[in-house]
Amino acid sequence: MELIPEWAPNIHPIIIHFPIVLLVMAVFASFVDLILSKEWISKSKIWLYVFGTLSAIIAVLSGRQAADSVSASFSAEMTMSNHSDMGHYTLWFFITYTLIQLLSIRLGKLNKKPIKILLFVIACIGLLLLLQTGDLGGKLVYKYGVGVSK
Amino acid sequence: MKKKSILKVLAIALTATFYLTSCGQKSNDAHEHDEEEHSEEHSDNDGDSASSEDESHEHDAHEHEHGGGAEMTMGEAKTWMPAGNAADAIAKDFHFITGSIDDLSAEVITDEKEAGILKLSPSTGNPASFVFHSKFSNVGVSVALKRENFEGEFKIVHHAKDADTYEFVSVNGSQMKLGRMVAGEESIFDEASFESDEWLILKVSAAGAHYKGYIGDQTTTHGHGDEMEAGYVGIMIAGTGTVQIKQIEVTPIEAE
Repeated sequence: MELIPEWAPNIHPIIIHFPIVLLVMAVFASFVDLILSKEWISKSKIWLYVFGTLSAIIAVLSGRQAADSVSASFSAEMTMSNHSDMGHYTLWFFITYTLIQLLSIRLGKLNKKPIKILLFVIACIGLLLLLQTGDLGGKLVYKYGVGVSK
Repeated sequence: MKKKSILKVLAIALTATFYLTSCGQKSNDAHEHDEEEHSEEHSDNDGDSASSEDESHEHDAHEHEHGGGAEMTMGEAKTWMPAGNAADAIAKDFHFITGSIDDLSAEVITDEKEAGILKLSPSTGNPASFVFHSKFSNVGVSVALKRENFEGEFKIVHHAKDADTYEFVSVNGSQMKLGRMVAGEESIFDEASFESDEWLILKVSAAGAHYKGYIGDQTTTHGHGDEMEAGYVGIMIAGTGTVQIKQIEVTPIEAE
């Protein structure tokens, strides 16, 4: 099996699904952790944020390669530019947020319900950034046909 | 100590990530221009016409007109193809921001399909730049050109304020540069070598803080910088030899 299939111009469309799923599940786990407060849920949440963020790094790097490898009309350039910027904002948001989550383990005082609620609300902001990035990516493909064989 | 080690590892990881993913964030000073479009008049394409300029309307626009000097109107999408007398063709649709028509030894020839080609044969090496009368903000520009024994730099300029302040993509031999000139000081966003056929399609796009230079559909250079104010779009030539231009296409890029 080839890493990049013949029909795909680059690996970015394959990679992006990982941060989308992992980070959405991480935020969902944050919500479940608020309600159930189980240790295994809390640990799972942390791992989801870590792996989601790592996959987001790969998604951004592959996105930079993708932007230079696909042919896009001028009318798609602004969407591509915004998609790139939003991807970077999302990445840096979750890098910061994941570090805060990791610190919250080390500093046990942060692992209290009011703090968890606040962190969950902040995570939802990250989710919005992620969704906006994905929306712009979808627009590139479905409205402008970027990366689509003709 | 363990906490310090973890913090050190995290700091290194963050720095590495920042370095690998740094991609020129939008400038905080950047502000969006409302692109107020002005529809330019068509020139009748008869035998005596100086040039043909097709207006392709890509979006609704309302008219906006400045007074004075060269018409400083916000531009619409346009495809310029040379026809008739070269000096008249250039004078009608462009104005010079440096040099003059005398520096270019311009003439319009025709190819085997009777399509007009603007042939420029600068001999002095002095830079000459002619730009459309309209200003553009986010924009894509495409030029079909051929260089014959041309030694020097051919640039597509955009966001041009004057001869010392503009953004550009340039080709010199097989080397492309993407950059900006501000008050006579050049900064290069990216550069790369390329291969091309006899006729090459040189393109540049400026969308927000992202700038790209293309040969045909292939992205060759990609750089980032703060957004500049809306400015003129056109050609700058500094060199000797012959450059032939079939077509100049300008496409405003709409904000999201």
